[in-house]
Amino acid sequence: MSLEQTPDVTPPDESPEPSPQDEGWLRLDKRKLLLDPIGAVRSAIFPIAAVIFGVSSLDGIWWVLAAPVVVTVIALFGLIPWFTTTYRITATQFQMRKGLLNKSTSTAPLDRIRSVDLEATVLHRLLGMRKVQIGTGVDSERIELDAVTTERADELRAQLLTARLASTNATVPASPVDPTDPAVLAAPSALAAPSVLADPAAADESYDGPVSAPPTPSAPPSTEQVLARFDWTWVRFAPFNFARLAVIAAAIGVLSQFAGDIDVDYAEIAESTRAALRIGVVVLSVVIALSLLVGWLIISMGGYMVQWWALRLTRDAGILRMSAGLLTTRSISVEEKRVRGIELVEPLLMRPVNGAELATLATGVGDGGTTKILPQCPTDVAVAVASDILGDAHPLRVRLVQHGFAARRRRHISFQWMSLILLVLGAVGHQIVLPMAEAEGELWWFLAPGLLWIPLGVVLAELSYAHLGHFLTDDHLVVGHGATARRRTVLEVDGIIGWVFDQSFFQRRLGLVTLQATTAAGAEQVTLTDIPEHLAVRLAADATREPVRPFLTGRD
Amino acid sequence: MTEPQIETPRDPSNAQRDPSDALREPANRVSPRAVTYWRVQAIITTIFVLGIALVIYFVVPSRPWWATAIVAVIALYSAAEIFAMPQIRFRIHRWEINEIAIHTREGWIGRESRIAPLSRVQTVDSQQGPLMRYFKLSSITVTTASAAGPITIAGLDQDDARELVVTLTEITAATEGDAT
Repeated sequence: MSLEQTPDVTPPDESPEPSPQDEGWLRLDKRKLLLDPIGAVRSAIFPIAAVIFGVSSLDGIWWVLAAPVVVTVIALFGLIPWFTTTYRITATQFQMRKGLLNKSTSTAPLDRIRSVDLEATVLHRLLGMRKVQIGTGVDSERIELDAVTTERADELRAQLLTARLASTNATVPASPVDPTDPAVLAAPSALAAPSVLADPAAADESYDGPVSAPPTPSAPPSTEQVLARFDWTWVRFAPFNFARLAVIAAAIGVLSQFAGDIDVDYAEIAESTRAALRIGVVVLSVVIALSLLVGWLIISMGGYMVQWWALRLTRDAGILRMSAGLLTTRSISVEEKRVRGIELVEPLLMRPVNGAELATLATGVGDGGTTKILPQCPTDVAVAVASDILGDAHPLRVRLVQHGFAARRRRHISFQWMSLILLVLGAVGHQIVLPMAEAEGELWWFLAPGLLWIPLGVVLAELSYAHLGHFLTDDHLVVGHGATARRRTVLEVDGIIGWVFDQSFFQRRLGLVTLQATTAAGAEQVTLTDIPEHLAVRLAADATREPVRPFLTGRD
Repeated sequence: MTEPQIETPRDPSNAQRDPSDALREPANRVSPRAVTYWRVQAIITTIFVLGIALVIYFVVPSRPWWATAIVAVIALYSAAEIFAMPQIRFRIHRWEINEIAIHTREGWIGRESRIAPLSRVQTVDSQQGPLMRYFKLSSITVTTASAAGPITIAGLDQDDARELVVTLTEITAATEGDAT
């Protein structure tokens, strides 16, 4: 669903936009005229280079002439967005128009705006610009203003988030908006009068002015409370996170594509090998291992610092804000009321060193509703911040109810399926593929992956069962899950908007059920795998009495 | 902040069981015509799937034993879908609404029960395909703000479905807020 279609879910009192069509539209900052062409040229550089080196049937001189022309044309195309993109803030909506041939208008009702995030690449930062992303709760698509000045971005954020509060109050019908009034709050052009809203009094004035809206709750003086900030010593956790390793593996894969093009003098290699043997295999492998280790430390710690440098997690007037980044900076704001829960992740390797990560589950915000607010950091810090956000430390400390023997057995069975598949694949490879290729091989080698997976599966199943559990506190549903990483998902009971009791044929025989608490926040559901049936029903009935109780046996 | 850990039984399957800790059957069945509809639908699917499988099976010259096995499994499953599934599905598929919530149950090999409070419902849709129109059947889908939570009542009599949509829309329209 695109943003333009959102009006069908807006409350009826938000009548169609009263303001005239062509008033109050603002352009993006002029510095975008510098930013976009550079970006366009940069993204086109590789295709151009590929064409130049790939189709080099033309004389080199032509390319010397053609290249500047091509680059100029591309840069000129980069200018277009500035001319076609305009935005404005009316009494009830944020609107953005863009497009040269396919014109589109995105609108977001002010009372639906749930997040205003700022992002800046190095180029943005050099030019003093910010990319503004405006999220409404309804769908994952967001309105992106790329780019406005840093001051204007802060201003917009303050304005949109406060206007949201104001407009929420104003949706109580008694807000007579004069239909002839332009009703455009939109403030001053960014260049003419920057930061009108920097001071709260001025902000109030601009709301009371053109729109006869009720007085806004005056933006309170900064009550910023710092929940967490970057700590040098956290970098020690970075090497334990192997997610980054996948990126490196991909990079090596790409590089190895080119390796074939390198001329190799095999005689030289043979000579080197003999030399290596003289030095001693042991010394050599120690050197290789050490350099791999050092390389990994540098890459993982460097990556961690680039991403999380200057992390600040703050709470200000009901809004959680996380900002971080060494080169590209991000600033993410989530309204605390929209935060329906948290997820604490303790990856296997980080458990011995007491490290954890923390994400919030919110509606209409972030990547799939989850926003990572703390990178790998000491578990104590993550737990303290999580308790602070939830307003209750209990859900993070309580020991979970485990799901029992049958659930444990099902964990084992589900992991051993993989062994079976590997064994069958091995057998098929040996019995069918090998004869076809007229090759021979030892059967054991083909069965080895499956056989090795058996003990691994046992360990994973035990871990997975140990992590599995649930608990219901007064206000929160706590769910433990995860195979290698221990994950604890805490969901506000108010955020639960339905239940799914799912039973496969085998689960029915064991009296187990996979229970999903559906929610608008985060991944849109929290799953309790293989919970005994009576516990599932009791849990649902205790968490949400009203809807579930009438459907229990023995009650009407 | 230093709350003691709360002790809970390690193995809950032996914990005391309250006889009321079970969901009862929702009150209503769907239209009995749904049985025929599901059967016709299963037959059409079977003609396509089994047809393609058999064509491949007989056109390809070599027939290893595992190819025969695959075709046999498809044929068995199709037979089950045509002869057993419609009645079982009809027996299991039940629904009930009250002022507060909607409760459905469906499945034929597995079971799936869904409950959602009507105050959190966002849309109420009804669908009717050409085959359903022939059988005067209609399905209703109720969605909430969660992608995981759509609730479907399949195979209602079309007049009942129309009434139900009106009722559901009335109840959900009466609630305020944005249902998240």
